[in-house]
Amino acid sequence: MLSNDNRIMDYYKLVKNCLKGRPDAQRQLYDHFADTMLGVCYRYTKSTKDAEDILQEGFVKVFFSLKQYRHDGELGAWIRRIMVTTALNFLKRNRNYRDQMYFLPEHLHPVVNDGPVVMLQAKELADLIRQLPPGYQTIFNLHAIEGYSHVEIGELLGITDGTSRSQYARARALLISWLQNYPVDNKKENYGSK
Amino acid sequence: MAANEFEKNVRGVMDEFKIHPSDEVWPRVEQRIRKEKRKRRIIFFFLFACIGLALGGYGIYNYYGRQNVEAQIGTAKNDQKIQGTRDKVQGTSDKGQGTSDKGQSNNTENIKNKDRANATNKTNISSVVIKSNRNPSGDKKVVHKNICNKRVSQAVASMNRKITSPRTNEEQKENDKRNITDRMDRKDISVDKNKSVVADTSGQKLTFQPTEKNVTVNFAADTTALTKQEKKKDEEIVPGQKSKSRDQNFRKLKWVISFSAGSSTITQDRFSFKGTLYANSASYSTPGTPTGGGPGVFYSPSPNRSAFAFKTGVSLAKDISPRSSLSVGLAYSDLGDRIRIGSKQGSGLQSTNSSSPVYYSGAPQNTYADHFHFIELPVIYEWRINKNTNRYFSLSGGASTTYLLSTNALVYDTTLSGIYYHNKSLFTRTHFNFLSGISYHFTSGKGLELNLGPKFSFDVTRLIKSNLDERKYFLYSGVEARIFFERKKR
Repeated sequence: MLSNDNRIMDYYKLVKNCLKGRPDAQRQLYDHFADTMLGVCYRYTKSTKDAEDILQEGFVKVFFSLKQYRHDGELGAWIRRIMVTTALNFLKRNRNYRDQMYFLPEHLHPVVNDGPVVMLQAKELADLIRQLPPGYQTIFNLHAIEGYSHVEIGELLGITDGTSRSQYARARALLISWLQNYPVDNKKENYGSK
Repeated sequence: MAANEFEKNVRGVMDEFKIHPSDEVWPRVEQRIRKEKRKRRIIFFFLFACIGLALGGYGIYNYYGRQNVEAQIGTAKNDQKIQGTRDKVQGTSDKGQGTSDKGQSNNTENIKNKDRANATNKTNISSVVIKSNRNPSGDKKVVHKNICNKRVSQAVASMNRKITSPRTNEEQKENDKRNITDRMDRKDISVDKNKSVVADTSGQKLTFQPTEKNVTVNFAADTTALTKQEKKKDEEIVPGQKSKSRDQNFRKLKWVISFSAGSSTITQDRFSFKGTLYANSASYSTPGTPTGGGPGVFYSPSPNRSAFAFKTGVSLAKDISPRSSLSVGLAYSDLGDRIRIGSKQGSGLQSTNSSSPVYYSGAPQNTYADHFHFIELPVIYEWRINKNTNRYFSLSGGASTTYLLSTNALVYDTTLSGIYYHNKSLFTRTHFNFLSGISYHFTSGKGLELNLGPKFSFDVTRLIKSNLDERKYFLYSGVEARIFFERKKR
């Protein structure tokens, strides 16, 4: 098990070698982060193919933007931000998602303290999130999982922070209702993933 | 805070979420990276070429623009230059007096033109040697000039006009007197009041004795033939002027001997610095061979590595502006690369188009050096970055046409599970290259002009015609040394 210092040192060398254009280092970086990043991309899309397209586009951006990485933060977090941005651009660009991602200004729905304990596996939860309408899905991902504030989400998606709040509240309520009714034995019947 | 428990739970679960991407993703990413890099390289190259062309164009425009302006200024200035020339020639004519009879009898007059009077003006006139065959009546003249400067030729032409014009002595005297007094007024010439200034006008000596308020001009018959010693002396006595100034060197043809050593490789892409990188040179099983029906191992093409290479040649360089020059030459280059091949096999090669029955197996056991012998015709434009005439950095760019004389290179083929063989017909003979480089120019202690710096050559013509061998374009990088020799005067 590598200590944090060793890991930072390894990342430092890895990035340095990638900047030199060494194919083995590039492959190593990809192998190290690809699984996690595909998990990120997976949550924003409705199909694995779209997620892989985002992953591909994201890694191309990563390799060309690597010289901007200052080693002042976690490399994984930096790559993750690129993936999220790439995913949002993909959603805006792709007609299938764009047509469904409308954000109507709605009255604020206060977030209530009714969250159940999540007992699902990661894949099952991700599949549930993917069942949300694209607008809800995106805002839920950005706020609940990535930790973006509603102001930041508003800037990213070109909506007001109030709209983001209300959309998030609806997404959250919908997801909680699904979780509460989640069948333990036959989960695929109700929440089959695409 | 309980309201955030749900988000914390979700985040905690999703942090562990990983999906393994399909195997197709990485090759696509890799392909995109290479493609983007290649695009950037091409953009950079064209940017460099555009800058080079712009600078070259600016230099040429500047050169011809100045010429036109000076042409418009007209004959008056040329007259002054010629007058200065005559002054200088006359300055050394005292010794020439003794040989004037001989000079007249041969009807030959050698004039060394170095405008000492205009030294303070810093004109760009090169040395001029005028041989004038003149009969006693002064009608027939032959003018030889060993300069390229058109301004000087204009001056010479103007001088000829003066010589040929049937002016009377009185007219000439008045004109020369006027010129000298004008130049004195403009302080073009410095006058020592204790010495007389002597000028030559059409075979007559013009003696000028400055006084406080008046000017006395006298004429005396004179023709001058300068000896070599006098020429040397003439050069030495020019105050504040180096024996070999930039003005003298400028626009002279120079012979250049160049030698360059470095490494070359064969790349898959144009303007790329990387050799061919095949997935793996390791062998892998051939499909459909588990039963042992065919060869069990298939050898993919070997990745190639760079090899030692050198170039040597001779070229002729000429300054086309004060800061740029053009050179054309002839060179020989020995380029190559290194690959890993297997043992030499005997005859039996029938399925390929090989010119030789001998072939090598594809097993990466031994290193083999491919050599390519080219003859080159490079045309190079060089631009000096700084203005120092003795030590300067310069950027160069150009193109060359090369012809493949011979090679011992091997070509890959998938026959017999991957082999290498000789086939000269598969190599493109005529190539086109782009050249670029940066160099440092300096003069050694012995007065030898040297130029040193890195050089790059990018081949844009595909080398091997076979699609099975991915090696396509030559790339050469090395350090080049050039020695300049001034072209001897005839």
